[in-house]
Amino acid sequence: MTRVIVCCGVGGVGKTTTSAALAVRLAKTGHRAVVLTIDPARRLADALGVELGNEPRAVAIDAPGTLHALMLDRKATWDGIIHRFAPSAEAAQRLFDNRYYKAVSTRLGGSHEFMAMEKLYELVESERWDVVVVDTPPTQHALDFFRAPDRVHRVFDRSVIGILVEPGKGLFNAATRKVVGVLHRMAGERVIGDISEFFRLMSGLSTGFRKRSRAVADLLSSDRSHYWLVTSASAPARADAVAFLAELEERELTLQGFLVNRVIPDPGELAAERPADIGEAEWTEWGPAFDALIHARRSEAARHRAGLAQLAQSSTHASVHPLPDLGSGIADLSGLERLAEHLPDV
Amino acid sequence: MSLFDHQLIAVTGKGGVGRTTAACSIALAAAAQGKRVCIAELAGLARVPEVFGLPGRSYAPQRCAPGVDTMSLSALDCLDDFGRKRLKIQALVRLVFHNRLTAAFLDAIPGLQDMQQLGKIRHLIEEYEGDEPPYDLIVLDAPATGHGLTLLDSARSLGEMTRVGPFYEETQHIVRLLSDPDRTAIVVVTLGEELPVNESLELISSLGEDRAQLAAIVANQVRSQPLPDAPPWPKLRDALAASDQTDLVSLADAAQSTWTSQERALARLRTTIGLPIARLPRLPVVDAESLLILAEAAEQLEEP
Repeated sequence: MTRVIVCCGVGGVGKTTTSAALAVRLAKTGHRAVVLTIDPARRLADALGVELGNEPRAVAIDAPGTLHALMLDRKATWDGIIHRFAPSAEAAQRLFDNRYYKAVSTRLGGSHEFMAMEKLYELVESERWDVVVVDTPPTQHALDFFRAPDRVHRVFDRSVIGILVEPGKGLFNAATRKVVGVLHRMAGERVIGDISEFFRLMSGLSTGFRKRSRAVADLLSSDRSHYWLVTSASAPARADAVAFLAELEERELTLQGFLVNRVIPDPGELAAERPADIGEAEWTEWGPAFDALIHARRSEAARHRAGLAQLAQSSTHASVHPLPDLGSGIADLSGLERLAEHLPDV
Repeated sequence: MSLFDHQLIAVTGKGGVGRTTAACSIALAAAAQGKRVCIAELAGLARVPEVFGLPGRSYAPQRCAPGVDTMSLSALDCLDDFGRKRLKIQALVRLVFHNRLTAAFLDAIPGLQDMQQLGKIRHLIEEYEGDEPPYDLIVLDAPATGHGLTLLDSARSLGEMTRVGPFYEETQHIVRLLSDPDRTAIVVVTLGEELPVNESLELISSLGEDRAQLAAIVANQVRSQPLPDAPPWPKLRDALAASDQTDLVSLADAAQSTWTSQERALARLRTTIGLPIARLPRLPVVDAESLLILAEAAEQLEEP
């Protein structure tokens, strides 16, 4: 049975890199691992050194397991679904030509997350992997990832949109008719016509569609799915992480732990002393610079330590894993391998 | 023209670069020049009230500093405003806009929510009530996803899709405002590191025809040079290593190399884009007080 590791967190905390490093670690410990990245920035490709596409690509890695990576292409995934569920090639083509479908498949709010789940389902269903690591889209709220499919479903719910596009088909009261009339006028009849055609074409597809997304929802709430929160030791990132945790719990999902990036270690009793062959005059400039450096490092480390303690207190079960700052960003596979050494086994 | 003479500054950048901090600093710097400023943010991303220690977000403008207001734009509130202007009958507005059908409609039409939010900003600039606009300058905290200036893109594509009607007309007004370099300035926020600079370059190249509005780049969390220039570090480094201070050497090496790669990354950005970069110093905490330091640094932007 394929397991799923979901890496959550707001943007800018190294989530994509950490997800990739987790997959590296899984490969190193003998698993067939695949990492699905959704972040539209091509950071992961930079680090893995492969051209990432919508299908898994093998990453050359020296490990007992295997490592594959892919980057979600929202439009291609939508088109794939239409191909799979459309009753005929002609019906599929008519959908592809529909202006509303074009807009939905490239920019409907939440459809990125929805397609991520669709892709996740494909990966799990193929049974080619022991573990799928999912790098979630950067959202401010944890639940956006889970709410997005609900939102997309609401769009496809004929009971609501059906009224909007085909108000003549049911018995509605005068108020509803009035509302629909105003919305039609504001949006323009062309849009309404496109949407209405879209739903006519989609009506044959929606059962298969719905069944799959229910299966993904079940998978994500089962014990085969584990959640990790990627954050950094800075105060705003921690505040986001704690808020995130609360939202996961609200959804009755258990957080395994926090992966805290770029934690500064304490310099300890470090103090600068003038070496014998450096003159006192030279040292007058350097000595204070070193003192300032050590002082800055010590206070940053203290803030980070307090931050880690605060994260540990925020949950009774989630573990806290500080990860070192590996310098100016991880740019290649060996950097990911170094980070992977510090990660827990998931 | 000076950055602060624009009517709208869209502050954009990838997640984690401190976009909100930069937007607040720019707003404070403009206010220090006597401008009446409003920081607009999209609800759901609201951080500005928190930074200024305000209790929470609100659609109604809140005063956050002398000369600076903030408002959090939610799509439904904005739609409500839009409807009120268009329909003029209060009862009808309530009927239409407080309705689950309308909420579904907002969800279902890609770009409609963005359009409502931008429409609100446009109304503050162009269709205000009274004799003069409520603000001289709106600073928009504008998130960037993979597709560059998503907001402007979505106004354009909604226009493509609708072609007629009030929504279409509004998108056309919005596109005119946002693509006018004399009225709208884009400021890209970045960090002095390899990957964020790569992402900023990617973002800037995705601006396409909107490159004309790019007025400035702000580097956030900039570190100052950790060690003095003279005497040369390698000489001192050897002396320290010889006197068994290897921990100090590695601390200094790390600080020095972080700083060097920051300078290299920012220099690369400057040469590629050909715009000066305003540097906001790295501070342990960002709050109403420390923002004043950042605002002073942001005043470098006044004369680009």
